[in-house]
Amino acid sequence: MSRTIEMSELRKRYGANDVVAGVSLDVGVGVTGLLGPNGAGKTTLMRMLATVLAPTGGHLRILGRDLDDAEQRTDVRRQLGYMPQEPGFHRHFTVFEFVDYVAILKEMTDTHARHREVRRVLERVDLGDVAGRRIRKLSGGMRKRVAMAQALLGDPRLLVLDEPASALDPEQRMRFRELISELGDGRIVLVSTHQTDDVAALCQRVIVLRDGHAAFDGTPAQLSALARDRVWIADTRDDRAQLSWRTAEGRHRHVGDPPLGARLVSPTIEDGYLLLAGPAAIGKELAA
Amino acid sequence: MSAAAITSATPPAAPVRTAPPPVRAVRWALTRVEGRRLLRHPIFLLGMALSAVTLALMTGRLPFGALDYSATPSMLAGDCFVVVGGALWTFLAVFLAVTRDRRDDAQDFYLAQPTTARLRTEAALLSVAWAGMAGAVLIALGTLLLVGLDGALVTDVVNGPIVDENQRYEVQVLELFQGPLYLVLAGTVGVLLGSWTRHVYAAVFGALVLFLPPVALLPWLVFDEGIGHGYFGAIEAAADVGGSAPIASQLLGLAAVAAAAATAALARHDRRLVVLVIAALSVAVLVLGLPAGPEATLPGQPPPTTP
Repeated sequence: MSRTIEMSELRKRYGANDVVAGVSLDVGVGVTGLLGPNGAGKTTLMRMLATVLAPTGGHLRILGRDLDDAEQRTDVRRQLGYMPQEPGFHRHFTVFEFVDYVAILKEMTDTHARHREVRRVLERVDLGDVAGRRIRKLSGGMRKRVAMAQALLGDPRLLVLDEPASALDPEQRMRFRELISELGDGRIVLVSTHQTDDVAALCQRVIVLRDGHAAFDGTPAQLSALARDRVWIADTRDDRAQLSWRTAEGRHRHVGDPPLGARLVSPTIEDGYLLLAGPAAIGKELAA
Repeated sequence: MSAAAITSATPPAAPVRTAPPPVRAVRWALTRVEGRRLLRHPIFLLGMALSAVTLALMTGRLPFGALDYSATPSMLAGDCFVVVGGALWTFLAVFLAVTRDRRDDAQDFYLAQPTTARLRTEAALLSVAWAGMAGAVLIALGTLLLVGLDGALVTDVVNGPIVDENQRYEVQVLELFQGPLYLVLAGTVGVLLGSWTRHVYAAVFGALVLFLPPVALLPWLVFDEGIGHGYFGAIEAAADVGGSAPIASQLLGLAAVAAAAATAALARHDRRLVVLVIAALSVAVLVLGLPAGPEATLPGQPPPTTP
């Protein structure tokens, strides 16, 4: 069985707007990060990969299955764990009831085995102690973990995680990083995020989406390298910079074309991402 | 979560991947979960409580009196009077259950699963049998309280209950299915509405049409008495109106309406089923439109006079 996702000129159009405008990528085993500004098409792409949304055009094969065929699509869903970006929950369900319900939808019909699996995934996200608590009484971070737990049901070969670390406190984020990196062994894990440090810590590969296109596809180091010789520090703000912000030390970090004599510093993945996904002019310049 | 938990967590063993189970096993697992949730649903419990209070009123078990004894057997089973309250709330509880994925904006969880929306609708339809079973328990209890095992009718439910050994009421088995079937019908209509719309105002409108007596009498006013009777299950004192035949036809009519509603719910996922909806509705109209037979009487009462 193929262990890749193959996208060819994948498109999704809403009205006259191409939200995903011809993405061609192959994604294999390991953790792949999807970065992009708001409205870049990340969630739409993730929903298509999760078989929730049908593409308007192009071709999509997941694990060797053609999603145009209903039976093959169902087969993909049997091997898929999907964590939506901002999922709604049945607030009056308990944590256990909700995950158990999703487990039935994942065709786990043997009650004992299913309950054992529900307990397993709740333990994996440290929710075992609150299994009997109603979802409406959980914090935002705990609900994120409920969403993660249901995605892990059945040990899926493909995980599509849309902003899994948002709303988590730093400790939980660390736990999630550990979990996701473990899951990346032998599985396809696609993580959409706004957190460049998560990408740097987790992902073997990063894709940057901008305006519905894949503007970058490479390693985190290659993304950082895009900003090599284009990041400098100064005591005052330099208006020639495309982006600048005040650091904790009270100095200004600039990204863009440095002036002569500027004090260049090593770029981070965030600098590379900002250059790429920032003002369109910068992106075009880089692409050229 | 503690730091120790972060560093020392040992992942439990993942399940062994097996071949997908038969569809019927998934349907049954979903049905059981939905059925149990329905029985525990506060709205359904409220409906059952209303029906129980109605039952207690009719059997004189509450201190503030009871209805006329002569009507009680038919109101218990034939008129479905006891379960009307329960049916309204069953309808609402089922509607809310069927629409929960859309009302809670949780569809993405469902759409990425191998289980289809149609299978979930099928399970929701089957789960209304749990409401029917609850109704059956209620009706059986009421029948025992009113008629007793030997058929002796309770006559004075206000001061009694006092059993009049001279008045006997022969309960027919088919009568006992009317109330539960009415609950099943209400739940099925809840699935039907919930399959096509998630808006609660649709449920409120449906409830008004189906259960508010003046509106529910419309078919009776528009068509004829037969439909009105069939709708409410008014087969009075079945023993005197020709045995089980009128009850059977009324049961068939209610079942046809339920079948039409169920098929219309499934037609949400397969438009070809519209033909079956029309067929089931035709059967329902034909059966329920038939005259209900001569007006019923209780033993010991004079038969109705025909002008």
